[in-house]
This record gives sequence, structure tokens and C-alpha cells, in this order.
Amino acid sequence: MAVTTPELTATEPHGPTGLWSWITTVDHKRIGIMYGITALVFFVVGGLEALLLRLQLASPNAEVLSADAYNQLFTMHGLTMVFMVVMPIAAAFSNYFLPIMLGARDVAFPRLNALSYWVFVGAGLFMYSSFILGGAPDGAWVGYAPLSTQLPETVRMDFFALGIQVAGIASIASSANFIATVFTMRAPGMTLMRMPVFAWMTLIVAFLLIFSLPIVGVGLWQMFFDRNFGSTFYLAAAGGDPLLWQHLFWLFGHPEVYVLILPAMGIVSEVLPTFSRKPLFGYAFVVFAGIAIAFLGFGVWSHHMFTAGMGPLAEAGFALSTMFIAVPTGIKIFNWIGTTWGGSLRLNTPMLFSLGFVAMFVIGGLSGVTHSIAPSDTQQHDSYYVVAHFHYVLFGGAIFGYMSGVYYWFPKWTGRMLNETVGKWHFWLMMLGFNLTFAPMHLLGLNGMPRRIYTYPEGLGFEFWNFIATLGAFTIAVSVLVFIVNLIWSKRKGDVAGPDPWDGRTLEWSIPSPPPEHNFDEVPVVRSVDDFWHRKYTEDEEGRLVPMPAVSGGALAVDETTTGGDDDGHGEIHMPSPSYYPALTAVGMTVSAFGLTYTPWGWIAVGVGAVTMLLGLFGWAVEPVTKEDQ
Amino acid sequence: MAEAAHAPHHPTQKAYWQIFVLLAVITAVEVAIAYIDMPSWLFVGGLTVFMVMKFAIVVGYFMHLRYDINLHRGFFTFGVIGAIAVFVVLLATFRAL
Amino acid sequence: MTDVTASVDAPHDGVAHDADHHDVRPIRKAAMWVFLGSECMFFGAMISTFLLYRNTTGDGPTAELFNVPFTSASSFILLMSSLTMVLAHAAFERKDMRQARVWIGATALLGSVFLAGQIFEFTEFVHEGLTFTTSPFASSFYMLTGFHGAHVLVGVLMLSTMYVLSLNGRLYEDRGLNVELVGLYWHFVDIVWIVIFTVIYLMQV
Repeated sequence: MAVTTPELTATEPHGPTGLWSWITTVDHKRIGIMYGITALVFFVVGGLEALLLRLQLASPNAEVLSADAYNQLFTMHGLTMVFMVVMPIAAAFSNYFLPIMLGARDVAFPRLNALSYWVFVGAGLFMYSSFILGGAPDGAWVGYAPLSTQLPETVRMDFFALGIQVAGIASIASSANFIATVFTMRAPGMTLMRMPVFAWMTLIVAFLLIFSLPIVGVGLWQMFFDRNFGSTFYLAAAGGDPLLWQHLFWLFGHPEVYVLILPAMGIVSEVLPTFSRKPLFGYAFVVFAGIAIAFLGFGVWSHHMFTAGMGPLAEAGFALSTMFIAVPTGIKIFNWIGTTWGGSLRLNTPMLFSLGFVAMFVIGGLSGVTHSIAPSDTQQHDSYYVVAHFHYVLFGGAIFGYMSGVYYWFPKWTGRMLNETVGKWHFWLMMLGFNLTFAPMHLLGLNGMPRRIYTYPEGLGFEFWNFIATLGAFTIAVSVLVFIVNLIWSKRKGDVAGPDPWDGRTLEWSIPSPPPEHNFDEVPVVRSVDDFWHRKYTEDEEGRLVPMPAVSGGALAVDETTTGGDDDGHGEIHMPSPSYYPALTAVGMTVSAFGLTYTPWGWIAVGVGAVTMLLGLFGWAVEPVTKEDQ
Repeated sequence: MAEAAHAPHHPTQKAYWQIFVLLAVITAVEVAIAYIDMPSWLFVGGLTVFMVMKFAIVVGYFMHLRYDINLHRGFFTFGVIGAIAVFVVLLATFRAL
Repeated sequence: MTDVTASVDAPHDGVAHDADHHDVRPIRKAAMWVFLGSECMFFGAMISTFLLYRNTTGDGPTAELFNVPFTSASSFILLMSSLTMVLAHAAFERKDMRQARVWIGATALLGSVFLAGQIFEFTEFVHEGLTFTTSPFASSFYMLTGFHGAHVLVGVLMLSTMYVLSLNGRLYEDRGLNVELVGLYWHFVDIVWIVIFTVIYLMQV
């Protein structure tokens, strides 16, 4: 079949619809969308929690929240944003685009992928059910012992210990899946060093997770055993050392911050070249800086513990390694700036968010470097300065990066563009609100306001900046509202995008929007980094960019990849069949977690959950991946 | 390198038995060391050497990692070396080594 | 990296792929190896906890309690199960399903004997006053050997399932549960025990 002009309509590509089809789907694109929507729901919930916290702190001696409610809400805000928002939104992008960017038809293990999603949902529901089952976790997202091992008769921190455990299992499974995908499913010619940077960052994150989660897993079990079965891991009275929890937690917790930021860096590394119409400056440097961050990320964990009394030698060592890790991070920033330098910039919303990312991340990175100096960190520790720092990297950094990704790839998901005008309102409101909220926290922290307090007395000079921060928080809320309206409106009425609205560089823009279930009619053959770009453009004698002569249509020449074979050849492509075993296994796991929370009676639920899980796994193990024709 | 995944050179049936005998002998030597008085550095050092030998033999020959592709070797080595490095530092901060 | 002229069908990583009919075995094997790498961290954290608390015995029993001859015997049994596992794999590769089934059964049996030994050992220790709650030493000992035992149990369950499936001639090589993958898992559980036996038992008495 000849090159057809891509139909300029947004079509429903996903075959069967209905709830059951979503529960049993093993299509990486649908799983990605589910991850994204779930993350958005949790983003709203976590944001509402933040608004309540800010209301309480807006004035001294406020009584919006009790101390107890405040503790639960700030703990759940942290847990939600880290484990239920940023990780799954990254998973949403990775799921959807990793296989497509590599030229594959799905991830390595489609059913395992579904399991990861459903286990993650189970973990989220489990953690949030705590609000109606005796109170939410209230020991901060770091869950330090002995605070977290006190009051074993309540269930709050059991929900913490088991909830993160279950979420961690989901992440380990999806990490193994992504690693196997990258190493075994790449299209012909797609060598590692031709992979898009986003694929690289996904790979690095998968390695970080798969090697760090088991460590906190051990710590979480120890916390759980201490609380429920009387073990003495963190019981100082019996000779246990609560410091061990801090080590096990931060051995995971520090790699985790790179888990949160690296996918956003990957997105920015895709968006900046596309909207500068230049290749990424120093592709290899960006990739190797990512690898270096991952390696060093395992060697800096104790900089979170400078006040724990490890001794001068350990503190000096970790201070040095922390300063080192700023080097690869700095390299990336130089590369991003170098990418935009001299480019023909288009300031669309994705580009604005990416530029915002770079600016805000630099601020957060710089305050991070001030933490690496142990004596100075001793002053800042547990103050609002730290809160300001990590919100600059995780909100100004990560969330801005993911927002950039949403605006960039929404057309690929839905076939329609997000509205640009509304998008720009969203960006500027969010930028304003973000800085209003978190910049004052630097001052509050340096003036001595400790974090994790539910109120403060008058006359300490905290009133003004706290009020400003609360104003900023509500500005952010408005911007999120604008964003959601934009999503809903544009999904229905947005401009039809076509396959390549941004004149993109990577393979996802070579297929229709939204992509067909099997992604590629014919598996692409890759010849270089930004292969799709080089199929569209070449350079003339003076080094100027000119469209490939053969395909004068420019951006519309996209169907080149998908032609060649006869279009009716779809029958040969075997996509994995839907399966309900992953969801069943996830249900079993969640039921077991509930049971463990309420031992001894809960052992019955543990048994029921375990049997359900075994049934799911057994059915899974003997079920063929692709069912023969029905 | 290509298609080493299908590893044509696995040990023979007989070799597996010989490897097993070797492992059993090393284990016997280890247990014997536990009953002999010797300086603690020699005791810990000797046991560690034998432990590493057994570990390497099982991974190399029973798990066929010796014949496997670099990718799998890399995954596993990364886990083993990484775990040793990280936990040695951890125990060092407790001065517990 | 931006070498446009590079041959597109240059082999990479030695992994074959044909997106339509790719062989899933090497993909599963890669995932299993990376999972085992991850398990190193899991057991590493527990072994470190034990080493940290090896002398923190409070008023409870110390490592003197360990029964080295008994544990040596169960170590030998687990070592032997690694042999039977690799023989099962070899038989399976030769397509000798009858032998493969025998060796799978033997491996499951040896694993069960090891587990029975561990239950016996735990019971003895509890009688002599070393319970999960006695001291950090006791907690970390039971946690480490307990999680190892749980891994053995999972292995025995997988082996038993394969044994039952093999009675109907349903030993697949293209499904999740196959001899090669279960074998890798099983040997890994064995090498963890090699470390536990030396570091936790022999070095501490």
C-alpha cells in the first residue's frame, strides 16, 4: 500500500473497550495511561493534603488541624507524592514510550507489567485505607525508628511498613521488566548508544530501583517485626540500634531521589532538542553523566544523617562523595543550555516547562550542594531550608519535567493537542505559585523554623513568609485546576494532532497518534541517534537544515516507516493476549498486606491472600503468552 | 559472542558429579577449620577463601555463568560487588567490621 | 554513535530478536539474572544486620548455641540439591523428560529435607532460650535464616509444580515456569546458604 496521508482524525486504536478490557489488558500503552491517570488522582489528593497543611501554617497558633491530623497529613503527603505520584507518572511515560522509542511492540513481559500496575494500585488503596482504619501513618515519610516502632498497638506505621513494601514489589517487577526490554527488545540497528536519552534514563532508574529497593525492604520488615512480633532490631533498650534503620532507609532513599528526577531529566533531554531544532548537545556526556549519577548515588546516602553522630571520618567521606555527585549533574545542565544555545527556539508549553525545569533545578541543586558541607548541614538539618531544597528539585525539577512530558506527548496519547493558551496560563501560574510557596521557605529555614511542626508561636518572625507560602500553595492549586480543565477539554475538543505535531526526532513520532495496538506495522531499522529526524532532514553544503529531498512533505512524510509491507499483513503480528491473572495476583497480595496489619486474626486474610496469589501465579505460569486463535 | 546464550559447552554429566565432590570436600575442610585452633586472621581469611571458591564454582558451573553472555555476568556481578561495597561501608560507619 | 553509515544489521549484545517471533527464553533469563542481582542486596542487608548484632546477645544465648555438625549435614543436603537440579536441567536439555522428572523430584525432596532440618533446628533453639524476641542477635539470626527458608519453600513449591506438570508431559520451555529459570533460582538459594553457613555459623562459633 502506498503512503497514505495520515488520517487527520483522532481514532480509538485500542480495540475492545469496557472495564474488563482495562483490567485484563497487557498492552503497555493502556497500562501507561492507567499509571498516568492514577498518578494524577493521587497528585490531586496529595495536593489537597498540602493545602490543608499550608492552611494550618498560614498563621501562628492556627487551629485548622490538630497536631495529630497534621502528622498524618504531612506523612501521607510525602508518601503520596513520592510513591504514588512521581514514581507512577515516570512509570506512565516509561511504559508508554520505552517500547516505542526502542522500536518494539511491547515490553519484555506484558503480563508482569500489568502485575506491577495492579500491585501499585493495591499499595495505594492499602495506604489510603488507613485513614478510615485507625489513622494514617504519622511518622514522616522517612519513618525513623524508634518513633516508628512505638505504639505497636496502633496500626498506623504498619500501613507505612507494608504499603511501601508492596509498592516496592511493584517497582522491582517493573524495573526487571524495563531492563529486560532495553537489553533484548531493541529494533535492528538500535544500539544502546543510539537510544533516546529518555530510554537511557528509564534504564538507569530501573537499575537504581532494583538494587536499592531490596535494602529498604529489609528495613521495612525489621520495622514491621519490631512492631508486631517483638523483635529487637531497633530497640535500644535491648541493644538494638535505631541508626540501622536510617542507614537502610537512606541506602534506598538517596538512589530514590535520582529515581524521581532522572526520568524528568530524560524528558527534558527529548523536549529541548525538539523545540530547539538541534541535536542534544553532547549526547554521550548526558548518558554517561546519568550512569555516573547512578553509581555515585549509592555512595552518598549518609549525607542525610550528618546529625546522627557517625563520626568525623564518615561525615567527611560522605561530604566529599556528595560534592562529587554535583559534577555529573552540572554536566547535564551545561548540555541542556548548550542544546538551546543558537537553536531556533519554539516556546511552546512543553518547552516552557522544560526551561522552567532547568532553571528551578539549578536553584534546588545549588541549595543541595550547601547540604553537602557537613558543618553547614548541621545548621540546616530538619529546618524549612531542607523543605525548600527538596521541593525545588522534586517539584520545580521533577514535576515541571513531567508536566513538560504531558504537554509534549499528550498528542501521541490522544491524537489531540493540549490547548496552548491554557497551557501557558498553567505554566506561568504554576511557576509563580511554586516560587511563592517554596522560595520563602529558604528564609524560614535559615531563620530557624523547624520542619514537621504543626504550628508556631507569634513573634518569631515566621508569620509573613508562611502566609506568602500559603498564598503560593493556592496559586499552585489554581494552576493544577487549569491543567485538569485543559486535559479534559483537549481530550474532546483539542486540535487534531497528526502523527508528528512537534516535528519530533524519536521513533514515537513516526507512527500514528494514537499508535495502533502493535505500535509498528513494520519494525523500524535504525541508523543513528534521532533516526526519525535524519529521515526527514539533511544538511546542505553550508550546514543548513533542509528537508530530505525525497520526501518533500517534511513532517508528513512520517508514513515512510510504516510502509513497505502490505497493510493487510497484520494477521502475522501476535500480540500478547489479555490476562486477568496479574490483577488476581495483585488482589491476593493486597489482601495479604491487610491481613498482616491485623495479626493474629489477620492470619486468615493472609492465608486467603496467599492462596489467591498462588492461584494467580500458577494460572499465569501455565498460561501461554499468546493464545491460539479463538 | 553471538548466540552464546545457547551455551554449547556446558559441563558433562560426569563433570557435574566431580564438581559436586569438590564442593563437598571444600565444605568438609571448612568444617574442619572451625574445629582447629588458629589465629583469628587465618581462621576468618581461610574460611572466606573457601566460601568464595564454593560460591564461584556454583555460580560458574551449576548456573553456567562461566559460559553465559556478558550481560548476565554483568547483572549478577553488579549485584554481588555492589552489595559487598555498600554493606562494607555501612558496617564501617558502625565500626562493626 | 552518530555513525550513519554503520551497518544496521550489526549484531548487538548477542541477543537474537525478531519482534514477531522472538524467542522469550533469553529475555526471561536476563530478567532472572537481574532479579538475582537484586536479591544479593536483599540478603546482603540481612547479613549485615546479623554482623552488626553478632555480639549483641543481651542475656540470651550466644552463637555457642549453634550445632555445627547438624548444620554441616543440612548444608551438604542443600549442596546435593544443587547437583540434582543441574542434572535435571541437563536431562531436560537432552530432552530426556523421564530423567528430568526424577531429578526435579529429587531436588524438591532434598529441599524439603533441608526445610525440615531448619524447623528442627529452630525448635531446638527456642527450647534452649533463643527466640525471635530474645536479643537483636536472635532477631537477625531468625530473620536471615527465616527469609532464606522462605526462598527454599518457594523453590520447593515451584519444583513440585513442575513435577506434577511433567507427569502429563507438560514441562514447557517457553512458559514462565521452566527448568532453566527455576534452576537459576535454586542455585542462587544454595549460594546464599554457602555464605550463611560460613559467615553466620562457622565464623561465629
